[in-house]
Amino acid sequence: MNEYIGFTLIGIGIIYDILACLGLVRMPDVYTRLQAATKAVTVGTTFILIGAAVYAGPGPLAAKALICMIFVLLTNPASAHVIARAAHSSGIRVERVTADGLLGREIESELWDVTRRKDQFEKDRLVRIFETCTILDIDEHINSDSLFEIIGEPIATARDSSPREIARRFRQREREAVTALKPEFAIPHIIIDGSGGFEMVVARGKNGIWFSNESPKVSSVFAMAGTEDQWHFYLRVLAVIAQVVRMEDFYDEWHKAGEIDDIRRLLITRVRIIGKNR
Amino acid sequence: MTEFIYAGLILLTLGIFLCLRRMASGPTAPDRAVAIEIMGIILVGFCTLLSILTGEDFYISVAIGWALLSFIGSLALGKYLEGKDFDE
Repeated sequence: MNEYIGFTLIGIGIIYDILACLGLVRMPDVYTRLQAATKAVTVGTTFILIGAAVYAGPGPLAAKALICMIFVLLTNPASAHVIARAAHSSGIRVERVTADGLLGREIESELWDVTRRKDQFEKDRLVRIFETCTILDIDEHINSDSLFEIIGEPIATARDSSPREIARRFRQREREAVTALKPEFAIPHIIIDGSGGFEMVVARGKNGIWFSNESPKVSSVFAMAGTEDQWHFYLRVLAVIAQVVRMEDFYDEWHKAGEIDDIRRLLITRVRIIGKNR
Repeated sequence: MTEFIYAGLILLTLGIFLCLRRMASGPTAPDRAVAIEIMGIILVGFCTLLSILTGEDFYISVAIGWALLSFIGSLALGKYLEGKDFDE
């Protein structure tokens, strides 16, 4: 009777071992091979050893087999873990997300596609903002409050809200902290209600716009109004504007530009140059 | 019942050959390390079957020694592949 039980256990163990070896050969990358092989082989060899112990009956062979079984059960998962960690830290990546063969594409190329498409989309949108934004050319020397009244108009039409409300928010923002970062450049920005909206108005003050006593003659104003979920995009636009105005000859060209279209062309070429350098 | 043991030995030899195949073709070093480890554990089972076949229990001593060496070898290989010193 012991003989049959022992052989049954040994048979189960051998089946597990063979399946583990098949997994080792068939699986696509090192992690799946590890997971297919090490666990199954631990179980398989444990079964063989138990089977041997049952078959031999009480005696030195059974005792040694049980010791060996405990040893295998303790050490095999540990060494599998060590190899998996080594594979991970030596930079081996997962082959593909799904192993069903229908997709047939590697995760690397999948992810690369996705990120490239997203980058392209954001870059296009960045240029489009400069292509479609309202550009104002202001001759008189005005202060920031009356500038916000003018700016409120195009933003309100684009967002279906009232110009007075937009202007009020800009004024409030200005009271909290002066948005003129440099004597010649200011970036007032507000958060508007809704989602997915981002508007920009660029204003050139030929005779300067009064923002504060420290910056009484601001010549370039980039006013932005974005919904809360556009925070990330807002930061990107801000980074691009900061790079544009720091270019050496930007303000010479800025003051030289005659028409509104010239200003727009200047901005777009500069934004494209920055986009290429990235 | 010796036929059963022989069949088991042949099947495990087949498994060992599959491991050898992975060891030869495995594209990365961890693949080969996995194949070596699996082969070690299958050889433990192989030795157990041999000890039943012959009735000698020292084959299982061989198996214990083999499992020990395979474990230490895997640890050393893992540390080596991680690119670290052994005292970390």
